[in-house]
Amino acid sequence: MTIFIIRRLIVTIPVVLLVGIAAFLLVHLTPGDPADFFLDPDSPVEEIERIRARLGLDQPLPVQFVNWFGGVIRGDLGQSFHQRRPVLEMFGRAFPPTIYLTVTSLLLALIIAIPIGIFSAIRQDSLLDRFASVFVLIGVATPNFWLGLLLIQLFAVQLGWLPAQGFVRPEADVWGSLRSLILPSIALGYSGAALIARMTRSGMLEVLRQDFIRTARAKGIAENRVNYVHALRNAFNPILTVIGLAVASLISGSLVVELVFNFPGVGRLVVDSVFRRDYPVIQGSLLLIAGITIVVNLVIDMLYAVTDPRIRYA
Amino acid sequence: MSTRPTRLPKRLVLGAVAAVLALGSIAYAQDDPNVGGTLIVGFHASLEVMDVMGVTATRDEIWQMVFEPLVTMNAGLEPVGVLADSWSVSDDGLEWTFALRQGVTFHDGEPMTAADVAASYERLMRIGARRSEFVRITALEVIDEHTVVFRTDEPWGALPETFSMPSGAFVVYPERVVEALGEDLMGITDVELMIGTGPYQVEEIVPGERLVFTRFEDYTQPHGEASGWAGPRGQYLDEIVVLPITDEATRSLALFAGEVHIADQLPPEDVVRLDADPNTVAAYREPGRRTYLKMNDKHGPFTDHLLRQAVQIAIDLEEAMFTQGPEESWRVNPFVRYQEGQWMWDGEVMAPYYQADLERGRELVAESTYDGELIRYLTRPDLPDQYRPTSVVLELLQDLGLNAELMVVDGATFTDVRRDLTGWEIKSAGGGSVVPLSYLDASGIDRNGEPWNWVGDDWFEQLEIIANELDEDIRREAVLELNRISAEAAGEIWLGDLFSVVGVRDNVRNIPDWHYMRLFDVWLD
Amino acid sequence: MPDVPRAAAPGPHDPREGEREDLGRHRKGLLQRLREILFRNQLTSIGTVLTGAILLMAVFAPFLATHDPLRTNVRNRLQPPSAEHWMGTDDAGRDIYSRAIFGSRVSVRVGYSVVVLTTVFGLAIGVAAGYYRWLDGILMRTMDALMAFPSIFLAIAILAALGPAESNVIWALSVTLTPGTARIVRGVVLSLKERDFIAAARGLGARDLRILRRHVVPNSLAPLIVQSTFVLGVAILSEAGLSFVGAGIQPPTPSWGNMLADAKRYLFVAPWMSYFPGLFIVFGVLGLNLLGDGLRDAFDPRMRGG
Repeated sequence: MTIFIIRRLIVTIPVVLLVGIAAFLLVHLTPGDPADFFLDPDSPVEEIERIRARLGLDQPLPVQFVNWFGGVIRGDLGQSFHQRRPVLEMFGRAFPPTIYLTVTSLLLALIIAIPIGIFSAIRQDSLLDRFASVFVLIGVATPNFWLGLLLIQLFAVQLGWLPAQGFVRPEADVWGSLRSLILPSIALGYSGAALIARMTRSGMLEVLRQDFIRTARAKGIAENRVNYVHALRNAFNPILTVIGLAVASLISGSLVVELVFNFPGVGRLVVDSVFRRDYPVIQGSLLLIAGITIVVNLVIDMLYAVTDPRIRYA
Repeated sequence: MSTRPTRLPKRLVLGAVAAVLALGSIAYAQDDPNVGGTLIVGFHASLEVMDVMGVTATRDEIWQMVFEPLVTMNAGLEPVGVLADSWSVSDDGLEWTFALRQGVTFHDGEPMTAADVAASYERLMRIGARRSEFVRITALEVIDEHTVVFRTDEPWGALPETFSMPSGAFVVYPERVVEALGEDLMGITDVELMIGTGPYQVEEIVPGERLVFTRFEDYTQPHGEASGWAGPRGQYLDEIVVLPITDEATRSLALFAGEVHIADQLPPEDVVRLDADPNTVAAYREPGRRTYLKMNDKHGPFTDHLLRQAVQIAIDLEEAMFTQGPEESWRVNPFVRYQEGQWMWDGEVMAPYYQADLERGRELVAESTYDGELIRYLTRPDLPDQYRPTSVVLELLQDLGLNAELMVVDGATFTDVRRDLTGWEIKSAGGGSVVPLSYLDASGIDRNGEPWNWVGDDWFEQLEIIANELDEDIRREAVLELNRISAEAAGEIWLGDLFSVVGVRDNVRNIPDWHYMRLFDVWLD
Repeated sequence: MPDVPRAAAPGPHDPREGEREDLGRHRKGLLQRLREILFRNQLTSIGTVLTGAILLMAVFAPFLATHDPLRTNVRNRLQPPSAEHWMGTDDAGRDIYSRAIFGSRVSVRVGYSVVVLTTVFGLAIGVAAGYYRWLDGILMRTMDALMAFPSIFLAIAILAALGPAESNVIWALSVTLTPGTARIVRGVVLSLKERDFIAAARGLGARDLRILRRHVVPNSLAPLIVQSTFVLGVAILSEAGLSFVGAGIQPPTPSWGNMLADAKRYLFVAPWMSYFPGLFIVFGVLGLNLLGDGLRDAFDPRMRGG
């Protein structure tokens, strides 16, 4: 197990390097001059050059890359052009809202999906099974930003039940924080439900046909107990895989939802930074997001081993 | 965020006297102000950096609460003292003596003196984004604790006006803050250093989330009448919280949901709903912003005068403005840079050039050398004023038989591309309308600082008259002549004026009827 | 923006691995077989019909539209649905119904182009990685790197660099969606390599290319077709998301995504502006997902009910 983790971590190194190079190149090849955001666009060229020099953009590209990546290796992601705060600090502020949103969305997706998945497997091909499939698939098919806008219109503006925008940090107000998470979590979580429901269903179906379930049934164990305890436990692995995938997809989806709900998360940080060409923030955030995704996948793979003793890592 | 999209640059400092607008001063409500409470503002821009000297990417509404200049502008664009009580110029016109207001203290409790003015001026000249406009000043001399003298190498009547410019402004920081900032020109991020003399002080800045300002108890009021940024500043509120909500739809939703008291720059269509909702009130701001088109006469098909004229004669200005929203939210105005009601404005001058005559336009295209070349219409969706008319204008270009296509890019790319005169043929543009006469020259100069091809000696002659003449009638005639020259050249097509929409909850009082929000004047019932 | 359900790829622990049906074996009665698959149950039928309807809409858009989708009439802007304008008019006075009809063309063009590109690249990369051990590491690490970026971040970054044009949207989405397809193909190749008949073919001196054509492609076909339906759906949703962020299909060309993005400003005064393109997206993507589920079940005998 330890060897497996170490091997996976070593393999991660070239991936991180690739991500770093890609992020750097993408950012620097994009048209638009970060210096323009400090000045009227018609400022004299010398003024723009002065700002460029101040931002370190007057250096050759390879030098800039080495400077940046050298810092990254030492754990220094650089400083934002705009806020002039360390990128790590800014990401650190933006990350919790995104994580809260992702986690509550995932929970919501699980709450919707697992009962539907189990039910669909037990009552395979019943009318309700089909209805459930369509219900969760509508979630996948609905653009989450549109769903978000519709939810705001209904629950925030017309009914006035929930806030229309913004995020309340839980350290300030737990209840307010939860309230500010409800609508964005629905907008985001609904789309994640289908995948989880589908995998729960197929995982359950798979297991329900296996020998030990038949044995359990033959032994006279109550049907419910067979379904929920034995089958579900064995259906857990594929569900775990999907949760891993769903996390990546939710982080991706949170970007757009954050914009709709004016959520001060990673998505908005990156989009704002792209629009004002805040290179260190874009590069650093992309690198961190990639790193987090890799770690999540690694943890999921390790969980396999824990939940399924049949899997051994050489 | 982009830099001051609603204000056009001031490129040359001409000896212009401020334009006098036929604008009323701020109408104060008669009822007694209610003191106390927290105002929550949904603001269109995200701000983290508080500095107005080194960078121009700041917002007047925000920094005017915290920092104060020696001189500011009133609603008529006239220079009016804030930290300067008065000023006088010597007979030879080379010495400007400013008497500072006494008893002014900074937010940290220290008194504001001539030494702070000198230190701030020194910083401005070192790192100021617009310091090139101050080059005629050769020296600053501290006479005593409350008097400073600026010397110029030749008479320069525009000195107070230049001091009053809100972009890259000459504000006064404490000397110790200037020292602490050193060579740093990128702005103040440390709340500890955000020390001004304004009516509100910075309490907290959470980047991207909120800015909190609290009443500065030791504030001393400027004299005079409240108008524009000038005059006494109300301090009714205990606290002002600014929430950056950059998406206009979300801003609007937050207002309707009662999460903010004020939301600025709303979609004009929302007026209907703001009026219908008993809890909200819509306020139009006049004058608002201008929107126009610029054709590239240095490269590509629009170097042909006939082709530019074809677009000009064929365009239906009203139709183009209809894309902006309900009729109440805009007016057609082809006059360059100025608005109905301003003393130099004359709508008749431009009328002959704009006929909305598509047939005549097609004839001109046929007469021109145009041969199906691609016409790239550069625009940016992040500035809706500029972006919305593109649907109609693009269709017009195509109806004229031009091979036109939109080139929609984000703000940063737009700024980059428009400098490259081989990168576009026609582009959308916009600007603030409350501009002094000195802004007129911006029309004649491309983004690299070179005059456009259509700009000839006659253009500069008129600019000289505007800069140097004192007689208002002569200056006005020069402005009209400049408009004729511009219209003849057909390099720019000014479409019209837009009125900003500010939405407020019904308990918000004393939102002045001006283009900028004087947040410090507001109170809550 | 949901990522492609990568679960469709046979992972190392996927019990279904190696049990896929070979489409190629059903040459005879193809039409009948196709009908059996496409209309195998109610849900799949709905999916087939919806997907087909959108294809037909795209092909016959000029006949279905009642107005020129680009023709503005600003004095008639933001009109609610009426006999003249079935879905109302937008902020430039254009007919929303006609724009939505023509918008299907963008979805179809972008969607199918992305499917073709991801399939070609996915096949090439997947086969190379599955076949040649020395390439496997580099290729799959690159794919991992691509997958490590949440897809819309990557697409936005690519579009910011390339500039927003339809072809660039297609490239950006193809880059973000290729890794999923590549993994599927690699999985198929790896499972085939273990099988006897490949070894036999090799033993008989069959060229790699021939093995590829005779065995790998046919065996990959079923999972790739299933994957395609999901890629299509994701492409349509991603285009909408990119348009919302301002990096999608450029005006005046109508796409469901940019129509929806435009509608955001008029939520109160003209809600119909968002309802119709929104519902078109929902039905389009729902159809593709239902079809995809049906196809998956059809190709994977173990998932069949009963």
